[in-house]
Amino acid sequence: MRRRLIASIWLAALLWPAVSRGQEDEGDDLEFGATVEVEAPPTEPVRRSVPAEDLRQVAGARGDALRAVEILPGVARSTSYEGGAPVLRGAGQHESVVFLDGVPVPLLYHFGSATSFFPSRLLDRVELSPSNFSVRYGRLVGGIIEARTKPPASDRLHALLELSLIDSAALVETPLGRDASMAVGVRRSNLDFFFSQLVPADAYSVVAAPVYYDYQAIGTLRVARDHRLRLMAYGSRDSLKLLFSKPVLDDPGLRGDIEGVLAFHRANVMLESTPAGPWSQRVSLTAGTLTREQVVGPLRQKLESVQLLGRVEEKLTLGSAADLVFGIDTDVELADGTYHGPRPPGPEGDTSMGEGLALSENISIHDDGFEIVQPGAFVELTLRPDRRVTLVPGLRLDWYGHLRHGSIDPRLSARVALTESTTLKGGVGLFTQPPIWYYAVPELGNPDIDPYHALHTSLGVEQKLAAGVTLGVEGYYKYIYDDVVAAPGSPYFVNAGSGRIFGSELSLELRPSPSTFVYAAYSLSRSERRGPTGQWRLFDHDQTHVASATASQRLGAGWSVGGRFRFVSGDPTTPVTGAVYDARVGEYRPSHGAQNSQRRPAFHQLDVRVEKEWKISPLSLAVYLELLNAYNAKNQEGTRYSYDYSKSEGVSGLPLLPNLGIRGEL
Amino acid sequence: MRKLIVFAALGLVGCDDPLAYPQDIDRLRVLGARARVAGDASRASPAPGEAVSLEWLVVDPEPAPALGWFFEACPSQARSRGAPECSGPVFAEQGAPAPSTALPQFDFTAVDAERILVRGLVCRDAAVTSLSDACGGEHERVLFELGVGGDNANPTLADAQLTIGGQPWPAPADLAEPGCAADDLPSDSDAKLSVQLVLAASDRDPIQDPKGLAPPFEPLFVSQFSTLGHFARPLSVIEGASEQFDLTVSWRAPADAAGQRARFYFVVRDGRGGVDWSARTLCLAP
Repeated sequence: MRRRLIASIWLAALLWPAVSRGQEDEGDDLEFGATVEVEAPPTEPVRRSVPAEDLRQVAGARGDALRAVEILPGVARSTSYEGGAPVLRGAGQHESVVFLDGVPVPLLYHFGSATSFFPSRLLDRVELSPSNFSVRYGRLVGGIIEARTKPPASDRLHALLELSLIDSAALVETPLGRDASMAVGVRRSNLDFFFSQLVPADAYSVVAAPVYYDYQAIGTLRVARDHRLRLMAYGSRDSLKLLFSKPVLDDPGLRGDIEGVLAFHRANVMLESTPAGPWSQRVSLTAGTLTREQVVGPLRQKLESVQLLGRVEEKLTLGSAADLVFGIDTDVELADGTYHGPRPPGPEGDTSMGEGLALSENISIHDDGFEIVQPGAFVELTLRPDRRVTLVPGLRLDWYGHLRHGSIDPRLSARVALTESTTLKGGVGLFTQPPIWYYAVPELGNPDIDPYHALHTSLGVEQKLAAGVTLGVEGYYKYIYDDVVAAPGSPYFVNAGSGRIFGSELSLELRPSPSTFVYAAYSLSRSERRGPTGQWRLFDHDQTHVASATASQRLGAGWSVGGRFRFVSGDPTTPVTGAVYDARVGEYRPSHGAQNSQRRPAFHQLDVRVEKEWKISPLSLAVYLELLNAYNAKNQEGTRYSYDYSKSEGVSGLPLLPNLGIRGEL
Repeated sequence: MRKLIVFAALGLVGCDDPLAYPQDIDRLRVLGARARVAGDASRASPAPGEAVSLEWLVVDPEPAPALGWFFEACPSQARSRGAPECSGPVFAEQGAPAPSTALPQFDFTAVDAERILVRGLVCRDAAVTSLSDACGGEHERVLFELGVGGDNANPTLADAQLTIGGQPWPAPADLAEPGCAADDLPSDSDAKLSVQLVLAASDRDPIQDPKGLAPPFEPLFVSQFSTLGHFARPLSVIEGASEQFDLTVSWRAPADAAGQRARFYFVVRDGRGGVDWSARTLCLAP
């Protein structure tokens, strides 16, 4: 009953601004395309946008535009251990989110490091705002990546079939009459088909491989001259089952089999209205389910939730000198779940993460009604007092129902064209984020915990050096306050932390010809946190230097080549200085030195891609080979210890990994 | 939470080649601590005011090393993660006046606290007067946390059936004997023998979990160690929902230890502070 009431209120709130002001009309031949979208003002001082077509060519990204954002400045290297979520300008991985057409998605990469959840062929652009993003987005103190879909092809039937060692995908796009078109896509991993052949029988205990799939269905229909209706369904499922050929019992807490499922399914309806007058509108409603299930021997967790996500954006053009955008952005999640396991660690900076599972006490929770209701509203004014000057003040209001707390975040950004080739840009604003939801569950965390905040500032210059050559330089400073940190006893999470992040970024983009794409980026940064003790320390993923150089070249005759090189400072680590034997569980507990006072060796990797395409109208066939980690660098991704921590050795990441694929297109 | 499973999976791949084997006794080691409440030795959790003896199982490739040790006890409380810490002042401490071959035993009276944390230092051939001592030689830093109140019972290996190679395997009369004893079972060099341990259902205490997510009984963890040769794995588990109480693990005798005496230790834990242990020996045939 309570849920029904909340849903009703939410729907009413969602739809109130959507009173149609457009008029039914006929006889317009307007093609569907990006031009009918309600565009956000391109005013974020650090928004970086690269066409998906260019990103698909990035070597090492396996044709995945979302994966290719790693080449942009401000994006540090994330590890698959933590879901692969991006580390943007020194923020935690849970503090940045990927949006698909304005809707946050719970998964970026399958298994944290494989392909992204959405095919690049259905994307128009991928935009990165590592900080100082628009008030259209909230509940985050990090940055955002927005993937923007493009309408399905409306000219003729298009089909694509791609097979590679890693996964297989199929995609069909077709017009449906004059006013409609649709696309259907599906992808599935291939690893499980040959995993057992690749792994020597005695080398590993794992005898079953991970499986993932995702699917998409998009239909667009022009319902009137100025109104486009889009229906989209998409989803993803990652499942993992590790069966051990012999028991792994070094850790008494880690025994038996390991299973996990992460799945989400979404249905979205979006109505875009762009009548001839000053008003335009976009209404988007998404409903979906999210399943997280995990079993590690006797430890288990299952969470099922229903999500309702709504966004209404209104744009009012106030002549040539101003635009007004306002709207609401609401997130409702109704969750049921059970949990039996150790108390969750803090969001970062928790040295106990490396300890054996048996050393933590288990708790049991059966919660059949956790509700998250987070309505938000925003208003943003774009002022153009002069041809060269754009000022964008904005205000965002959010309410966090499960925390009984709200926030008011003012933001301002500006762009000033100093010359035809030089643009100065900057921004300042407040950003607020609720803690990870389970930190507010009474048995797990602290029901009185509050959202935390960050002040973002940035200043930069864009310089067009020559035709097709653009240089960008930006500096930034962020301060996080009321940050959520783990406490040793009850309450287990408190708003007693803070953080400071500063750095500068350099980017160089060269497009000397339509067949050449070169992009180089360098980020210099420092990200620090401090807890109740007051001592500043490095953030877990502080990476001082992040440099990447990417190039792709079409050589003619269907040949194209590309390469990407990355050099990244190693993540900080906390030295283990000794160990104490815990006789209650029969395991050693490590003793640590100064937190994050050491670093892993620097990461460096070269990825290479070669593709040959044959065009036999109307078909095209391409064969490609990607060499991930082409010179087989032994990059240390972690450290493993002997049972008593007296010995240790580095754990290397992926070795040279060739990925051969074939792609056919109609 | 997703990261936990990915982390666990990545961490496990390749773990068949550990940097050191915990089941091999190749240095001074503490293998367990057993709390015995005065007047009720079966109980592992004292009530406030009750006297407790905390016995420590310390082993070494040598049969009877001289040990110095020091222990202290303080109140502690539930925590989120990480090592337990004192939540109040130390209320008891005890050390050995001189190194001794006797196993350490720390006697104290339980205070009124949620839990009691015992911290200690055990050193070979050196007297210890505080936890901050630097022994210089081999040593182990240890801790043990026991609950106050409650009725958690120690599991027991005294009645357990233990066989090796299908033969009953009795406890030795004198574990400290450096060479083979008359009552030691023999073993061929490089032989692979099956060791079976059968526990009793009564060794497990029931678990009260109103949520119904935990198994009905506490699990039992049996660690096995040997001073010579090699057990196939360091740990065996009887799950809380299992009705099977027998454990089997193979042990391979060394190829080059003829005439030596191998000592074996079995430590059973309930994961909540209840502990017991037992030792066996074999004589490796020339």
